[in-house]
Amino acid sequence: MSEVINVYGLLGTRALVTREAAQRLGPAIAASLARKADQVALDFSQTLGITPSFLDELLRVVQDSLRDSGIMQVRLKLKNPPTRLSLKFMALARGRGVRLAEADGDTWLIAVESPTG
Amino acid sequence: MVDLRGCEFVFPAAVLWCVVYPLLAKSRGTQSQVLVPTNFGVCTYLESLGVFDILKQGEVVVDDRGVPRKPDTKLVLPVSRFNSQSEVEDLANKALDNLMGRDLGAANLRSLVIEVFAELALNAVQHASSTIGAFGFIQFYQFEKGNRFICVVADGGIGIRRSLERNPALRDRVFYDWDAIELATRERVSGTGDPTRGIGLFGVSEDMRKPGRQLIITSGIGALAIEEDLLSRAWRTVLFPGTLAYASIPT
Repeated sequence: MSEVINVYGLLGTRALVTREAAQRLGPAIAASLARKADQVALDFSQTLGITPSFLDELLRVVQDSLRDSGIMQVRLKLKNPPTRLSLKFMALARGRGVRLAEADGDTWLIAVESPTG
Repeated sequence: MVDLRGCEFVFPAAVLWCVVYPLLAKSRGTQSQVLVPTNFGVCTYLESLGVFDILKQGEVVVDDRGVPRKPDTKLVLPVSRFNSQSEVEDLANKALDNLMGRDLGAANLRSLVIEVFAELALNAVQHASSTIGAFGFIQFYQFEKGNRFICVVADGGIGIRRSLERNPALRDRVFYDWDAIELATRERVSGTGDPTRGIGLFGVSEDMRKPGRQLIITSGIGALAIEEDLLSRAWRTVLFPGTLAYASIPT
């Protein structure tokens, strides 16, 4: 089952730059996992900027949600990311132990596993 | 007392020197005063950036009588003081709104400018332990050789070396301010000791290693420059009581 979260609709700001902003997505992500979603899509279509700090914290939030829900893994799809997938985002994905790839030019695919897995 | 009366020109990177020094002095109990430039153009420039307002809010004596307040349509974000992540987020979004509203720069550059500013500002908030907070501004600047976005962030905190020294694993690698700055730009290097941190400044450094871009960081008596054809160069310099980061991006 796949769920879509409209990021701008939830957070209301176009530049997502802080770890605090990523933490505010936590409840929606946890709710999706509770509904047994195996893929969670975050739609960034009205977002105009994200920082590595934001994305790093988003991955931590997802990993914590997996651990807390007992779910082993989830596919995270970032639709319409506001920036290209560059070396710095690949580096932070490596640091978090997740696989990050670009698909179709406007989607990032991230395979996230539970930290207890 | 900071005497700017003889200044004929203030480079954008130097603007926050004029803010941090007097505010630090004031915070340490010293009567602090800034003598504004007699050069009318320089004075107007500093006024338009909001420098004198920030100083006066910090109870630094500034005589800016007769200096006109001219709105600068090329100013993306005036000199702003911040102390928290949420304030950084507010400033980043305000700057983005201004970039879009004034149609400054290409769309793909706007997100880069905001990202660079935000990461530098977040570092100041999270690692500087500055008693006077942190300051930053974003300007669309017309140099002789072309137009650029300028992002400058500064604090009056402990400096990068002392911040990294909080991580016991790094203490034997940071003997001087200049090698601390260089180390801080590497992936996963953080004074927090958290292996998942240390990506903000690394990311900014990678972004600045592109044609025409420049990043200069001053902290304590050290400085570092990053450009496309100069991967990085670190050196000893005059003391800056905190950290100042200057990013320049051609439009």
